[in-house]
Amino acid sequence: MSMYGFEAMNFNVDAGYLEAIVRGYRSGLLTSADYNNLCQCETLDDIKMHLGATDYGPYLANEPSPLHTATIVEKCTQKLVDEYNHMLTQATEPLSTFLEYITYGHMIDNVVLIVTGTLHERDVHELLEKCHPLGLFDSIATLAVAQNMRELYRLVLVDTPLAPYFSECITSEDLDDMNIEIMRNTLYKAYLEDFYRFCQKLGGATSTIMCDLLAFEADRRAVNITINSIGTELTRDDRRKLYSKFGMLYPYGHEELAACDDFDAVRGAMEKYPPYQAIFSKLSFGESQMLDKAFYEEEVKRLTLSFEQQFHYAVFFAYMRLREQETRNLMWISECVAQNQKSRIHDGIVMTF
Amino acid sequence: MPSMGEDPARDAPADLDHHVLRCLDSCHELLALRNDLSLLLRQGWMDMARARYSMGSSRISHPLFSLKPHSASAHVGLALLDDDPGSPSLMTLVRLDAAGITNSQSADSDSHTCKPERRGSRSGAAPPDWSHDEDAAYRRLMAGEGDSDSDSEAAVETQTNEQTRPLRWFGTLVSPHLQAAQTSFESALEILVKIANAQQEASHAHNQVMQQRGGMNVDEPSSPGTEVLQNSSGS
Repeated sequence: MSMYGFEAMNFNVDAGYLEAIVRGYRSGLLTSADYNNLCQCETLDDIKMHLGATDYGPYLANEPSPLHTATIVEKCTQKLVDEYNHMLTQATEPLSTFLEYITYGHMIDNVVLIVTGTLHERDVHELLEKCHPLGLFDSIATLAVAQNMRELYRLVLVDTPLAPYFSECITSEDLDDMNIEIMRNTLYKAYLEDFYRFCQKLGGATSTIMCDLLAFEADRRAVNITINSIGTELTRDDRRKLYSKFGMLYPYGHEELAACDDFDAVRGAMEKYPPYQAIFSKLSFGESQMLDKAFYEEEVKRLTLSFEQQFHYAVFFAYMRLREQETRNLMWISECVAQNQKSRIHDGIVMTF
Repeated sequence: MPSMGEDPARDAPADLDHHVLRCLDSCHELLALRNDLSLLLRQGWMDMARARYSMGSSRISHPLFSLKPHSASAHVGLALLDDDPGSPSLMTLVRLDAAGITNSQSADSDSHTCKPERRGSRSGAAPPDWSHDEDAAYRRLMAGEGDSDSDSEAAVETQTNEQTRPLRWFGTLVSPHLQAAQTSFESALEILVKIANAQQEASHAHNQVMQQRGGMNVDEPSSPGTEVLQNSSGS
């Protein structure tokens, strides 16, 4: 565990090269000028042409017309995966473990995708094609044979990094929509808490910056779970159990959120916290449509600030998240162009620079 | 057979005017319904894109569609209004409700559209490319207010089976955008049935106009609008 302020003494020995690499990758992120050009596009092929001059050029160059939104997203994701694998293969401990932690969220999403798709009698190969590449593991296809969570754990997940996160949700109940949803959120809660503890142990600037970023993530998930569960059969107690045990909202904010029955009650609970009061102040009363964009804007602001400091691992996390936001931006632009609703383009773009 | 005091020759232009006006009203209603459908579908697809932006592409994608056999959430009933084979029939959208209660609601009722447990709808500002009329029309549609013409209204029997709702395919805790998208598509289904009724009504009214014109042996162009204008200028 390194002391804050003394990272410069030995950080570059093991991670200096990769920090330089990730800062180089960061300079390839799309700028506001790039987004302005993309917003002028009339067709998806125009988007492909404009992206040809960016880091995405080689990935989209050979794609045949007509282009689809899903293809653009897939190629953007492929670029991120290639960069991540390049960094992971050259990382040493503890950076390699840190980089692996970044992918566990995708692993959880892939597990839920396979289990849900199997429940809906979909073909496993079709589901595997839709899995996020960063979240793949060797025995993932075997998930399709599990009938309940106990089998899920015993047959497949016991040998994966997600095994420790299953202790809170192992039951013999058959998998159904609600159980799967609770499993997803319980796993993600356990993952975030584990990642938080790992970053705290790392100490120094990594701990300071990552704990702030993860706390924001936990708070955002709490708000999303609350809003998405309003009007559903999820009880208040079950809702409270899905909130992570850290973050600015823990524990008193969580108590208020658990009792919320509509968006304005959520707003009332969140406005007691100055960083979130600033987010909710951008929304009018009853307006929930732009909340996710407001949260993404705040997240991007925090992620870009992490690059202002050197000799810590949070730049890797920040870069991955910024690329994912960029992919979301490109997906949104593509959807607006494909649906001929270009006036809505700026509803979803979160600029990095 | 005309009754005492009636002059068929004098009443024929008045009947033609009546049928022409009825045809024009039907066409107007049909165009209004198509506009409503277009608004709903545009908003629905936009909400789906928004949900994909919020929840992630992997959570809203076609591999999650259920391939399990399940009954349709709605079907269309057909009722003949009278014995004349040329007269329009009334189509009715019949749905299954989560509560398992069948509610036959009149076409003029404000609650004639299906109300799921939780009805997502677009709140806040209208999209920038929408005119004030379009925004008002969308809000009216989502509030469940029906058209005034009861002949083209689709009476909706609400008995929706919760298990067949596509929203559940994507998870239990889904974004409000996805719920709004489903609401838009459900409303679009009702509008489609209304459009079918309106098309029948417009076609029937047009046929009646043509029959009236044939009976009067008028050799002018077939446009009902032209007929109305010529009758007005001649009187």
